[in-house]
Amino acid sequence: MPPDPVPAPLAAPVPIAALTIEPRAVEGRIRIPYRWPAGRTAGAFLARLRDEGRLYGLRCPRCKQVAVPPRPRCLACRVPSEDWVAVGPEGELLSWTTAPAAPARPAEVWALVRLDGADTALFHRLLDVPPDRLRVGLRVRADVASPTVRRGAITDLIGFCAV
Amino acid sequence: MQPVAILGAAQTRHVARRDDACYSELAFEVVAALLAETGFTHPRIDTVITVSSDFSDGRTISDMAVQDAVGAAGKSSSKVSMDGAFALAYAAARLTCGRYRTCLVVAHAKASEGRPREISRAAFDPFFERPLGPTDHVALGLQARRFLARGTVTREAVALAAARALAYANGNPNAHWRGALSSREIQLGPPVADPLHRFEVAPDSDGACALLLADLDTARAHAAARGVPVIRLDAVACATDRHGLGDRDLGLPGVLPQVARAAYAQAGITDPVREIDVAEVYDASAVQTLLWREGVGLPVDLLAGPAWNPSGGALCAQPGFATGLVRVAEVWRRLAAGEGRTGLAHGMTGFVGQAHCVGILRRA
Repeated sequence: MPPDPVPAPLAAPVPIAALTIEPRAVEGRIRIPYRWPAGRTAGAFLARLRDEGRLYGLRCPRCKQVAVPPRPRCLACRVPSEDWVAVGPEGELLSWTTAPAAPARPAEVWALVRLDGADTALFHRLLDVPPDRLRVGLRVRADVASPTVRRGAITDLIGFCAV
Repeated sequence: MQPVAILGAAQTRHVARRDDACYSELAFEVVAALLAETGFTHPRIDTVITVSSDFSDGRTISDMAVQDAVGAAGKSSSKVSMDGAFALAYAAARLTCGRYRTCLVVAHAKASEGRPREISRAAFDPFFERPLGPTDHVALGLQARRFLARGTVTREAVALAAARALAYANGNPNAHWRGALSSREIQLGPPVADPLHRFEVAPDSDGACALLLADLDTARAHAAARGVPVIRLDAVACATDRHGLGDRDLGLPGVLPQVARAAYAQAGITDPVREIDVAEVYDASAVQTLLWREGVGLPVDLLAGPAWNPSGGALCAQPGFATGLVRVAEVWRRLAAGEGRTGLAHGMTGFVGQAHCVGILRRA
């Protein structure tokens, strides 16, 4: 067996502050597919939107407030809401904003709309409303995609147009 | 609650991009500064709460990745994945249960590592909201329109709040944004989320913040030994509101008035305008600078009552979930420096203030 090598003398420690640190970065992308079952309440709303082209809310048996989007329990009374009621297709514009869209999406106008017969507001988009007509309280109408392309998603509602 | 105390606070400078430090190094930076400031060493820290966002860090269980940096090995540690102000409630609970005498709270965020707008999209409801592609800025724009539609303040007042924040930030070495712009210049700037323009929406910052909390006996002994005042945490209150963007009126302060009242009751405050000397709130937009003021029961006039976001607020530095903890650190710093006796620190989580947390700090 060859003799053990003579250990090299230890280099004098260099303080880290004296080293030139090259900033390095590691790039990555996390891409994980998900599948979210919509559940009974959102699922029923989306199925009726697909099948009937209409919007529905859930009415609280106690305070009679109608939630759109539907909530399985009244958010105020905490009791189960089981009465589906048709709302809209017209409603009132409560708020809107334009913000730079996410990459690869066209610029959009997002809105909160309280549909006729509803007490809460639906978040969606506005379609082709001239800027000079935009105001809180504007009457708007739901524009639903044709039955052949509806697939049971909130985007089956294309958006809201000025009445 | 049994009073606990905040012994010290440290924060980094908040900047657009810290390429020289990975996020555990950022957390280490504030822990090292805090230990140097307080004279504490790791063996004297009993428990640790870290604050981070997995989505922001691009790493699940993101708290475990900073445990070495914050000296948590061998200790009971836990995590808040909400705004850092909420960690106050957690830390106070740990201290008042009597098992721990000291608690280190550390929050970090590096907005520059990911894409904050795209990350924010993942927090929206996947059935009704997310398919439409909203971001946190969209929610801020909708809130701003609702707030202005109430007619309680003018559009000009919102821009003035932003201009004032930038001016205040000129005196804050840790601020990400500072400057001298008029309200008119701000309103002529590029729109971010209509009706909000640049500088009326908080920046995305890299930064970290750490606090050391202790029971009152430990705090008194520490204060006596170091010749510093005891800064008590006399109240922490939190509440959460409805989640859906259309399920509450975004133009109102939501659950914040209830949270503030609970905090004032705990701290024995009956007249917040007179009794609070300094307040720091998490204002993700200049509308929130005004709306949260209404929420904590102060007059709309920014010159009445306590110093209001004298650091420039979140409008001048928004390091993710560390933002609310920075509010606490700023209030602590001013009370420790003798700029008043009672301070209010506010944090929020969720879009446009779904959940609020208010802490009341007092110099003994």
